[in-house]
Parts: sequence; structure tokens; C-alpha cells
Amino acid sequence: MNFIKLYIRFIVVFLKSKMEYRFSFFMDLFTNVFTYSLLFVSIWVILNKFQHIQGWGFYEVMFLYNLNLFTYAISGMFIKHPMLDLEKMVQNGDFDSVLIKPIDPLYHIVVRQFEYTFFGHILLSIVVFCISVPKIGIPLNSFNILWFALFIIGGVLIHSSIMIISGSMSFWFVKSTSILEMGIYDIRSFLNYPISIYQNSIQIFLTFVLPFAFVNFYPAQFFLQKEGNDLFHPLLQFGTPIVGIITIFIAYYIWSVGVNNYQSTGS
Amino acid sequence: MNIITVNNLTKSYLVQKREQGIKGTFQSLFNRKHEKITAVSNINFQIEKGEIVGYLGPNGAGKSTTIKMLSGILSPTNGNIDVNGLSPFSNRKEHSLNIGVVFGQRTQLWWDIPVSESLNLMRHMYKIPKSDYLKRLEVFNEFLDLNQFINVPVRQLSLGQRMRADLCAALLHQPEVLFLDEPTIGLDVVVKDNIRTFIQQINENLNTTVILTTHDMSDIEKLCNRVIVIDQGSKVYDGTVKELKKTYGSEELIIVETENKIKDYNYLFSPGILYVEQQNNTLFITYNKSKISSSVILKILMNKEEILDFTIKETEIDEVIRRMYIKSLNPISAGGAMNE
Repeated sequence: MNFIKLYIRFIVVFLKSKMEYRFSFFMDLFTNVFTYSLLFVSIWVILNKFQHIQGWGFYEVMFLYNLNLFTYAISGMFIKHPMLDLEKMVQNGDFDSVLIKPIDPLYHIVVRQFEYTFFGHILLSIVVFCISVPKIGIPLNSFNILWFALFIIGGVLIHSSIMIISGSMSFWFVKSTSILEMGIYDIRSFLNYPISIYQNSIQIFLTFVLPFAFVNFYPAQFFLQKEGNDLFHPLLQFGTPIVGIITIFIAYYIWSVGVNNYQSTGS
Repeated sequence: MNIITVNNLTKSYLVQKREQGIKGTFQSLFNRKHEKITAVSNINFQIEKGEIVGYLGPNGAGKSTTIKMLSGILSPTNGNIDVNGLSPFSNRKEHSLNIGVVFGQRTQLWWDIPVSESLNLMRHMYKIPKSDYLKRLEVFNEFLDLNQFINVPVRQLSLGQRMRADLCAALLHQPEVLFLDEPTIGLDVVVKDNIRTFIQQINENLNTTVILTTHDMSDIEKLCNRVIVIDQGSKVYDGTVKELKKTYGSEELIIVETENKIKDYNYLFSPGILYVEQQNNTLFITYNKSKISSSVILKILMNKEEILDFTIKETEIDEVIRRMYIKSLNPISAGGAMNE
């Protein structure tokens, strides 16, 4: 597995370079855990007041939210910052040097860095899983664990695809980071609550256009069978892994078209 | 054997046309007009294995665009490129193993980590066996003095050190072809010389083909036997440096110091003498080498004056290139300057 070996080498070097600035290294980690803990507090405050949202209690919303946070953190750790940096690389022509190396350009820009700050999210979401799963009473049998793993993989692929697609926009548009930010922060914030509470148009959008709903809503329905579990079609509960694979292929295709469209800069 | 063959190479871009003023800005928001700009147009050349070729031209002539197409970064709009049997853009990955690229303006090394770590990553990327890697590093060190800064993070290197490290990184995998885009830009004389010697050595020992763009004419004089000059995207010259000088640089300057100041030097003017300037006891005579020789001029002078000293200056290659650029910009005026 040359692929993974090379990745580890890159990451070790990257972490070494980050440790040059030790203070900011730990500060980053801390801020991330802190901000996301606040988010859980805000959900708790809202649910404390209303008891439940359309039949979803506090721990169930926590579980739902956590599916999103966990998969987002894993793909963010690898994909998010390379995609954010891509805009600058395309603008100043640094992307040139990626294209003259004997490794795949996407793989190359991904291995060059590694967002360790997402360890904060991951740690937090593992804790939240440990609290919420027993409270909801999901039986820990091998069938459930297998599906859970598939949902996580699918969710990671969906998040990664959306990051790659919006990052690829840098090849066509000058200010594409705003698209990425919108995809990641603004639209994703719909996922804080079950999508069955939203209007029909938002549900369609999150299921068929930007399939974020497959990251958490449909998988959560698989385990919880809450109100709205027949949204569009009951089979969608199993859709996450397939949707993940389809989106990652689309994302890689768009990326490749973008790379071929790359025009470099003067000088 | 040709290692590089370029046929009818053309690259054009669509550039958005911007209107001036506020009205124009609004107009371009809704109704965008595009303009086609041809950076490289219909270029042909062949390069043999082991050649060092200078690729020259004024700013914006299309040099970098050509280099980027040759290295597989950009796709040609039209025409074919063959480098060592591969088409650079469509076989990018295999092609990258055959080439080394150095951009003088930016580094390919990691900014925050020591040079040695960067080079080591390169080793893994190109899958170079460790023993070869160490051997090559030793050779590079001999010429480039890498050990002096190998453990320093790239951001702390001087420009000269960074350039040397970049060269080393581009050559670790022993590519067949080396592309250098302004390799000596902004460097001091000693480092420039250092780098030139190194490139020469690599070329001699490994028979590496080198293509370099530069604005420094001493790079050309010291390294290249052949130059290709392009201007506004088209090839305007392809041949030896010597030939180039003969065609465009037949003027020479002879500087003569006499014992007494010459009061009237009009008798000097004869066919081939272009202009004469005088500063105290020194005469600066510019003449056309193909029409009159320096010895004839000296003979005429010696009959009348006491000569203390003289020097002959060949036209510098950058003067030659400058004339070529001007000529292609404005053929009439430049033509006038050339033939009196």
C-alpha cells in the first residue's frame, strides 16, 4: 500500500512543520472543541424549552446532529483545507507544481496537509455517541454496527464530494471559497434538526440536489423510525452508502474536468 | 535523435473583455464579451537529446506558456508535442518522470520544513532507491554546497540557496529533460555562476537535455549553443548563438586612445563606419564588421596619430536580442537604426 505509506510520510512532515508553532497548534484544538460544545449546549437549550421537535427528543436530535458532525470532521480533516487553499493555488499559479509530479493531483493536494484541529470534533462526537446511543436504546448488535459503519463511510463520502465539487469551482470562478463556505456552513446548518420539520422544497433540495440528508436524517431514521420515516420513500433509509459512492464519482469527474480546464497564470 | 518535437503548436485563451467606467462594469456583469488572445501561435521546432537550448523573447512573448505546455501543465489549443515519445498533457503522469522543472519565481519545496525533509519526500514520490538518492545528493552537494543549508526550513533560505535546493529537487530523479524558467532571476553573480556550472555538468555527465528561458544574456552565452527566439507568440529565430550574432550583431565598437586629442576626425568616415564619438583623448568608433575590419580602421588612424591603446568590443548578445525585439515591434525604425 504505497498510497498509504506516502500519505503517512507527508503527514509526519506536515505535523512537524505545524509543531514549529506549538502554541497555535494547541490553541486551535482547544477552540474547536469549545465552539462545538457550545453548539450542543444550544440544542439542549432549545429542546429543554420545547421538550421535543416533532417527536424527536434531546438525545435523538443529539444523535442526529452527531452523525453529521462525526462524518464532517473526518472528511474535513482530509479534504476541507486543501479545497480552501485550492483557490489561492489556482490564482497564483502554484497549482503548476502539482501537475508536474508523478502522483494524482487530487491525492497530492490532499496529502500535503492534514487538519489536526478536527481531532477536537471527532473526540467530542465520540463522547456524544457514547452518551446518546444508550439513552436512545439502540441495540448494539452486529447488524446495527455494520449498518452504522456503512452510514459513516457513506456520510464521509458525501461530505468529501461536496467539498471537492465546491473546491473545484476555483478552476472556473475567481471567488469560489464563498461557495465552499456556503456549502459547508450555511446549508449544512439545516442538518442540525430533522429535515422533516422543513418545507417540502428544502427537503427535496437536501435529498436530491445536495444530498446532505443522507448524512444524518435517513441513517437516523433507520435506527430510530421516527415521524417522517417514509419521507419520499422508505427505502431511502438504506441509501447513504450508494449515494456516497455516486457523489464521490461525480465529484472526481468534476474535479478532473476542472484540472483540464486549468489555465495557469502569466509569467 | 530528437527528444522533443513540436508541431504547429498554438495556445489561445479566452479573456474576458472589461469595459471602462461604472457603466462598463455593469454591462460586463450581464453581457460578458470575450476576447481571444493567442499566446503561442504555430510554433515548430525539434530539439535533440543532450542539447542546451535557450528560449528567448521579451516579456509576454509566450515563453512560459510554451514551457508549461511542454511540461504538461497546459493543454495545447492546437498542434502536437512529443517529449521522449509521450504527449505531455495526455500522459501527464508518465511524462512527469521524464522531466524536471524549475520555476525561478516560485519554489516547489515545502515552505515550513527543512530542505532535507522536502527532498526526502521527493524521493518517495519518485520512488528513488535510497542508495541512488544518497549518491546523487553527494554529487549535488559538490556543486551546489547543499550541506550548508540542508537542515534549514525553506522560508529561512536566501534566494540563492532556495534556487540551489529547487534545482536539486528537480534533478533528483535524473530526468531526461530539464526545463528552467528563469533560473537565475534575482541571483548574485557568484550563485549564477555556480548554477551555470552545475547545469553544464549535469548536461555533460548525464546527457540531460536542457531548455531554459532567461532574460540574462550571460546565461545564454555561457550555456547555450542554440537559441530559439519568439516574439508575440511566433518564432522569429532558431539557430546557433554565433549565427544570431552574425545576422543581427555585425556591429562592433573599437575604442581608441590617442596621445593628443584629435581635432578633426572626419577623414575616418568611410563605407562601413557607422558613427564616431569623442571623449577627450578617446574615440569610440562603431562600425559594421562585414564591411570594414578593425585593422583597416587602425591603419588609417595610425598614419595620422599616435595610438596609445585600443580595445574592441563585440556586440553583447542582449543588444542583439534587443534589436530583434525592436525590429519585430517596429520594423521600419529598427531597420533604419541597423543599416546606419
